[in-house]
Amino acid sequence: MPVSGWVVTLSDRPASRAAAIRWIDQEPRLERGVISGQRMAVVADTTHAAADRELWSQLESLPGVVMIEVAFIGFEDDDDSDDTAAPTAISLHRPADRLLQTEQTESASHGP
Amino acid sequence: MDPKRRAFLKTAAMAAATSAVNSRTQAQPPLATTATAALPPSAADGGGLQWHKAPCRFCGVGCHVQVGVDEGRVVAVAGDRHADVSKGLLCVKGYHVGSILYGSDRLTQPLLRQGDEFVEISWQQAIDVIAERIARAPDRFAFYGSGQWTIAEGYAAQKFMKGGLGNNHIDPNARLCMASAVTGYLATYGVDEPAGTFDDIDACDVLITWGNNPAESHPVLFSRAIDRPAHGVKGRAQAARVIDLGTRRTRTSELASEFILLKPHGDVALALGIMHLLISESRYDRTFVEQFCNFRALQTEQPTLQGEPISFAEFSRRLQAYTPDRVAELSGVPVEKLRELADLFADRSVRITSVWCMGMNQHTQGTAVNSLVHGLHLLSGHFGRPGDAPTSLTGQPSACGTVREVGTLAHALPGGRLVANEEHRAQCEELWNLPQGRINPKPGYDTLRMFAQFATPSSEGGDIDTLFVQVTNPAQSLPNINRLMPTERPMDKFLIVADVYPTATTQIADLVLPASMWVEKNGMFGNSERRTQQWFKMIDPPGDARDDCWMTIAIAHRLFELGYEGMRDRNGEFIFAVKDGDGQTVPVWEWEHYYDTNVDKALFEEYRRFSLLKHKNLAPYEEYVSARGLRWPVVQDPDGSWRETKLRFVAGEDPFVKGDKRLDFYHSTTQDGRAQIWFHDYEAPAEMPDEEYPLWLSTGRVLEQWHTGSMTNRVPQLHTAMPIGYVEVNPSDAEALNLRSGELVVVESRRGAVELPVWIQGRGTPPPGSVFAPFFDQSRLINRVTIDARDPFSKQPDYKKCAVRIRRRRDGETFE
Repeated sequence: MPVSGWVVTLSDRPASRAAAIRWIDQEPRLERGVISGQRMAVVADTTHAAADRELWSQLESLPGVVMIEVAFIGFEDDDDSDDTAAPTAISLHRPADRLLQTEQTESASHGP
Repeated sequence: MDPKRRAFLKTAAMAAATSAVNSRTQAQPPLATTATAALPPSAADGGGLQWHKAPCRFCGVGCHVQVGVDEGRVVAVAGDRHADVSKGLLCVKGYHVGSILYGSDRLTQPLLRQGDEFVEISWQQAIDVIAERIARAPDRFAFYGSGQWTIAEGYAAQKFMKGGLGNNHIDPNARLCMASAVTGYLATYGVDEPAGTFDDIDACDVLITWGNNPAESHPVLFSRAIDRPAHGVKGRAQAARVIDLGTRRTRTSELASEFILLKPHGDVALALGIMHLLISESRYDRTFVEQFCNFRALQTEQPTLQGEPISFAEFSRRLQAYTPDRVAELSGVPVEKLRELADLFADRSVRITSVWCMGMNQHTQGTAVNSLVHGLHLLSGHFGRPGDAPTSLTGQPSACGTVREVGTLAHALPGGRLVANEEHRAQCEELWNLPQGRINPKPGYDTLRMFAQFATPSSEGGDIDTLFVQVTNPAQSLPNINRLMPTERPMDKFLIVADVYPTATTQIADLVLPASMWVEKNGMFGNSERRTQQWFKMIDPPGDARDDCWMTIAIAHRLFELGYEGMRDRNGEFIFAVKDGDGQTVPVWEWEHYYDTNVDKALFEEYRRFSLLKHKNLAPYEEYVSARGLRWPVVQDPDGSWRETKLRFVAGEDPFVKGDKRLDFYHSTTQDGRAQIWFHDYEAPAEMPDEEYPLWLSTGRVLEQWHTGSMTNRVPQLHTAMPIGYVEVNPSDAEALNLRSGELVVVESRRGAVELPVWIQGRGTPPPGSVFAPFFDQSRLINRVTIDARDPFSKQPDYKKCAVRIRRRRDGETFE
């Protein structure tokens, strides 16, 4: 259920900047706030952590967005909290064992 | 979630983001002076959260966060607009710092190895086991700590070892990341830590990153350089010109104004080449040098960190060997670029800040190159004005505050004291109220030696039998771990590990202790700009996890109960006795009473007395409660307020510069108020590519993961963004080797091998003939491959240069 407050640095190219703002306005999970200079406050409200991350990546990839920084995150009741859960402390298995099981799908979009 | 609660969180998120936008475009608000002023603007709107300040748990930048707590659980994190360092912003790791508390596999109970199994034991049993092993052979016990120790944790460990056991075998993991920075400062100024602060990044015209990737390793700090217009920095509206000097193209290179590719060890040659041009063309700052500098070089035989004096003429003569053509050959920097850099340093109208981190520190000439970059700034007069500063960065939150200032290195004592110095030992014994002669004059084992001795059978001279590791993960982070941290070790050795999650090190431990982390305990950190920061415990740790500081005190008290003399002071009292307001001893060694008083405050106030011994003055504890950190030396003004210091050694800024001097290096090793400009000859790296192992390997960090990944891998967003280790290969090498992205290859050196997927044109791009691998992935330990060659003075190993080959897996070959 992440609720995040972001500071988006916009491009100084008018067309790209305007396109980025339009994209934000049309994205229902984003709420636009104050713009000051090149910087704009944005709140993201998504259903789960992976969606939050995906939305971040989409926004970051826009030509009119130079950088996104974070000012706030609420992660109460985050239903993805066990995504990387390792086995219990008693067994002391490596958490990376879990990473290996998921790497093929994840790395396709995020890594080598 | 309750819709009202969700609406509240959205309001708080917008308020925090708006505040961050505005705080970067308007004058900064004053530091909060009351707890109420510290709250985010919407905290009183009803969501029921309690907000508290804390520094981030990760790197050495020391961003402050606001932590939202509800019913004993951290549920929100916001940037802290009152924090000078971060001005309301956080990087992607800081943003998720609250989630590191809640991985499902937190260690919650002491575990003792019995055969191949771990069994749960009580804390009483665990403390007994440790105390009995120490009592049996106190001189064969070693303590390995961390730049993530809080100040109180490091101070307690240090006092326990050096003041209690008379044993100096204590060293921190910071030996692996900033020891060469320490020796560089000591050799140049006679005292450790930067003269400048992060404010120089706001004030400079040119920022030079020497083998440093702050866009990934220190992102909020780097944003201050490249996002200056939005910072509203007065008088410096233009973004800094960033010149990135490196052996690999990184995210910093992409954001820099210019990237200059160096050969490995090219930094040494480059600094020498620039100095040669400045002198040979009479463009150095003669007035500055004549007033404030001496010249120095290593002795021909048995060189020491102190070196020997040389004349300016001799210094100039030695530099003559570093002609532009030769420097171009050694460094890979074209002659015209070398001249451009010399022109830049010759221009006193621009302000130049140099920053560096692992590239210059993890270097077999780490002391040399640190000293040379300081010398370059001194020779050119780019020192002592806002924006003119050579400044090292640190990778851990308290590598400076705990390791360097508290003095948890094997040769050091608190307050810049040295175990080998009789007067210093006497000072510490006096302040600790210990019998004369309690402190051992012989420096203990540095990190690499400590682990080598632990890995060696006692019968073969391995004289460390019991090793206690707190707050770090050496089985993943040491270099050449097949030698220094083998999974099979002699039977008579005993490894104790305190940590928050299972790690590569807990896997091979004999006793595992569950630790509290971050806001589950009181704490103080000291960041890279001399800023001491404080926070209070906000929530309880899970299960039976406990504070590292408590563990040390409990072990010490068990030894006290066993009659171990070292745990008593001159009056026969326990060395960690903490008194309440009535003068009664609080039994803080019993966990149920540990928070009856503020042990952090008691230890800090004791430690603070040491800070006065080397002009690193700290303020009383309560001053840090209301501030977002204060940069030492902190002195009291006549009106009773406490004042921090932005520029050390500079008149009008540094309270210890007296008289009419513009600058005074008052810890000068030549005792004349002057800094030392060093000459060091270029030396080749310890291992170079050859026919058998034709590629350079460099290792390092990535934005989303922090160090060995033991915390960040528990955060789904961070893990998903960077799930596995990899090896970056240059496209031309990949073509020659017929490699494609995603293909698994074996990266192999003379010391070991690891299997990694190839990444071509990935996060960074190494030059042809060079590969890069991050070290965060526990399932792919790149440190099986790295070399343990080290700097002779700092004892810091070089993780950035060794020779490897890439091949495909052989039939039947397996990798751990």
